[in-house]
Amino acid sequence: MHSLRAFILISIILLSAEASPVSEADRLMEENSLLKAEVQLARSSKIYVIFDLAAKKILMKAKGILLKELPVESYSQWGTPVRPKPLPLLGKTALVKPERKEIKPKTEGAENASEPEILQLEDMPVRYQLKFDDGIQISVKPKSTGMISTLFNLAASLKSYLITRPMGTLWNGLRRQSFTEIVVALNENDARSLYWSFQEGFQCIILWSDSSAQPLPHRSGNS
Amino acid sequence: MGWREARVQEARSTETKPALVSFLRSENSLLKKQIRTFPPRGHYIVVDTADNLLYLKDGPRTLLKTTISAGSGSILIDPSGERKWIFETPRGEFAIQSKIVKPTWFKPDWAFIEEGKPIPKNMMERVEPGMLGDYALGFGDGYFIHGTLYTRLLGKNITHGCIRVGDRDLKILYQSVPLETRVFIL
Repeated sequence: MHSLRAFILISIILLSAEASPVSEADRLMEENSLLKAEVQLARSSKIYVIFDLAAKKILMKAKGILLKELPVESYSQWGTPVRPKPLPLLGKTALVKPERKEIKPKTEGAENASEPEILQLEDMPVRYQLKFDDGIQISVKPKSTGMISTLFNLAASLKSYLITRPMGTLWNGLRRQSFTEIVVALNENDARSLYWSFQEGFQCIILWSDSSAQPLPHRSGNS
Repeated sequence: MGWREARVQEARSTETKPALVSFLRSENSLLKKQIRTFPPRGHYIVVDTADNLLYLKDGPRTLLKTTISAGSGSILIDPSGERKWIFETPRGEFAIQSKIVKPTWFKPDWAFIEEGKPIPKNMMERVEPGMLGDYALGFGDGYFIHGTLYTRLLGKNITHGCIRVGDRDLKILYQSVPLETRVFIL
């Protein structure tokens, strides 16, 4: 009995000793890819976004500076894991997309026309998809706060599991492309804020959360 | 093959995981140092057009946080159909290019079109003093951070692309930021 215990203990020690450098190398490789991607983006004068799933944060940055941070309430990821690399936002889709309001010039004599209709943060959707290359899409939804949002989120999850993921995988598979869906739940204001600020053509880095890996060290940035 | 790739391959091929780990550690350290060279030194401005907030920052420290009005994103089409304006505050990185005391607004064509008035040929008919407050900080392409008469609208996306700031905070901003100060707009 004692020898069995000793054998198990030694095996565990040996396995962990063997595994440790590998996971350290993997973690450093992951960090290396992230840093290289960020160096590439921080060189430009554009805003970029980092979806750090493991840390449950969305970071809006420029020149390596953290401009705004949005906490992720919860997330799920499915499909082909994403490597950290710059990804341009190709498009945003929403059930009801906000439209720019057109200003109607005042007619002569109408001095006190009503205030122009304007596009506000409140007009932005809270449920939408962000589309990227390589068959990657991020679905944003509001966190469940009541009966209605819970029901909507349940319906969205069913759609994701029953339609989006199998169909996306099949369709992309037929075209020899990978498919990845990441679902993030944000509070409503942050979901709107992300829609407002993350514009088509902006770049982002997605940090795929690998539960077996150690977390990356705190991201660079000065705030 | 670049020297980095060659070194990674060399470290891998010689079955030396410690060598790979050591190489990656040193390269990651270099990359982190490189990222730290990108942020501007001294003061910089961050404008959040979603929440209509402006921050004056020095490194991680926030020196000023104030409510602003940013662009409405609305569209104006010239009745002739030849011209179209989108009144959006530009996003990205900019720099303060001019600092003006008691700025005068020269009304552009769109302001007349919006008001349903004929576009004047005489430049003097475009002069509108007092509309931009006491100070204006230009950040390129005719966009300014300036004051406003309509303080009740601060916090709303109502402007034609410029950034409106309340009088007191505009003065602090004017006094605090030199030319070439970086402005990050998101």
